[in-house]
Amino acid sequence: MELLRFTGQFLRQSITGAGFTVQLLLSTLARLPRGFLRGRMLLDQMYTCGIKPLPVVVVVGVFTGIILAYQTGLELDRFGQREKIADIIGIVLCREMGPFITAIILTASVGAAMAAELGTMKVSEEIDAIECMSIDPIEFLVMPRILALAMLAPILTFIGDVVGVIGGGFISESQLQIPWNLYIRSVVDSLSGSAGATGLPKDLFVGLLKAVVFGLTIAAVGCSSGLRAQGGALGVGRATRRAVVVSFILIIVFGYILTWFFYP
Amino acid sequence: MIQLENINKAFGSRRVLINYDLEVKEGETFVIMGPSGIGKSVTLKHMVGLLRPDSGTVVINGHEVSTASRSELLRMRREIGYLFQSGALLNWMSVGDNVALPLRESRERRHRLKADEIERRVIEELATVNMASERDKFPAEISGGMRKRAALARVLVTGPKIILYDEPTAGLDPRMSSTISNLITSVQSRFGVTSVVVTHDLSHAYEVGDRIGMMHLGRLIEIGTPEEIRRTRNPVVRDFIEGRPILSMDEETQLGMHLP
Repeated sequence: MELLRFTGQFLRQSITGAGFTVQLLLSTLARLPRGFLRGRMLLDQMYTCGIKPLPVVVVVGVFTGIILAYQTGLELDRFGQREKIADIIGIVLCREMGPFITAIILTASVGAAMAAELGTMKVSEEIDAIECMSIDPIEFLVMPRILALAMLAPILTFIGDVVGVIGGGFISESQLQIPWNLYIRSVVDSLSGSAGATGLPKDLFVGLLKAVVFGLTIAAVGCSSGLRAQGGALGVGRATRRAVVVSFILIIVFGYILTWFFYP
Repeated sequence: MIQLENINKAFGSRRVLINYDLEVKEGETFVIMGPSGIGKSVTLKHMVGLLRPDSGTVVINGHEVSTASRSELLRMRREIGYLFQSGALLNWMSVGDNVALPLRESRERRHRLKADEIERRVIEELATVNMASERDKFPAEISGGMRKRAALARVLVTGPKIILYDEPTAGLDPRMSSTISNLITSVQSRFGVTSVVVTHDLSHAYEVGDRIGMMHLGRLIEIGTPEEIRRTRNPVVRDFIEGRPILSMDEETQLGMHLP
């Protein structure tokens, strides 16, 4: 009986939370033109969402490329296919690993911070105060965050892709004796196909599109969790944890859906 | 004028407001008094539309708040100032920027002011609450009393017709409480606003109130001038005034007592 009650409560909270998040995202998108008028706030958020996590993205990106090249290279070498390493790194990083790893970093740093910040504002009545001043909290607090992360997630992902490829190149040259020029040319050649009018290789385009979706998801979930925080410091902690867990799950699910859609 | 008629509000199984009626006349200061956790702040939040009643009506200056749409609420709130218990200043902004916020964010073109006019009004209101020298400090750098005064300046800067004060003296030392009481009285006499003050601080209630209402078991059980409240024979009010414990709604229910 207790289990049934707990399951029911969990389902109800999950559905309510999902509904609130979707509604928040749609309300934000409806106010989008006004977002660009809030230049100062948008720049502040772009600094928080883009510049602050950049060192982590670079370090993690480089080592992801290194590990990927090292592990894959050893196996390929056993089958005499070591020259394929560049293709594998290019495709894997641009299609999947780049957006995924950047999204994980952004969830842990930016998404969690958004939930904690807005959660603290919620429990200390600052959000109520904003409403009482006839200020729309979605336009004032949520939109700059969502807009900034949606714009900067693909840029960070691209940087992550590039440094990952460089990291992989370092291992390819030093451990697998593949010349640097050949490695880079192979990476570029591996990104086949074109994504229509964008002029980008399809693999890179899909990866960057995933990054936009992940950025929107992380910011919307972070803001929504923060705005639903209740019950003091404990509630803020709960909201932050919820933001991180839900974002992780959605990143995996949306990543799968987009991969399935573009590579049926 | 503020009118609350037959308001009922429950959070889960806990009924906080029960057939609650209140009428605050234009220009008066009405104090809602009662022990902590009895629903005083909930009453205030209904007046500004932060909470909606389960049933009943809230009318502020002829506008129905309880059924107002979001855009109607935003418009109505321009005439209402709300001083939160904690002050609720935004921590990432300086005191001056906090006070300027409602002016800078005004969405109506006719209410929009130029930057120098906003700055002039900010300094003026900070001076009203003796905080002009703290303009560039951040909320974390000033005391609790200063935060409340800065929050009061933020309320005053838009020139509201109604001001709602939520426990304005809670957590303050007697000297600062007296300063806040004097500020409320001077704001009242200077601007002639309608005020509702929620407090459990008796001396503060007597000091600022034109009329005082004692809240118990989800409604106002006694309303009168400060002198009438002082001389009341109502046992619950007397218990509160004389510092004797008052039974909560849960305790009364447990004892099988009926609601009045």
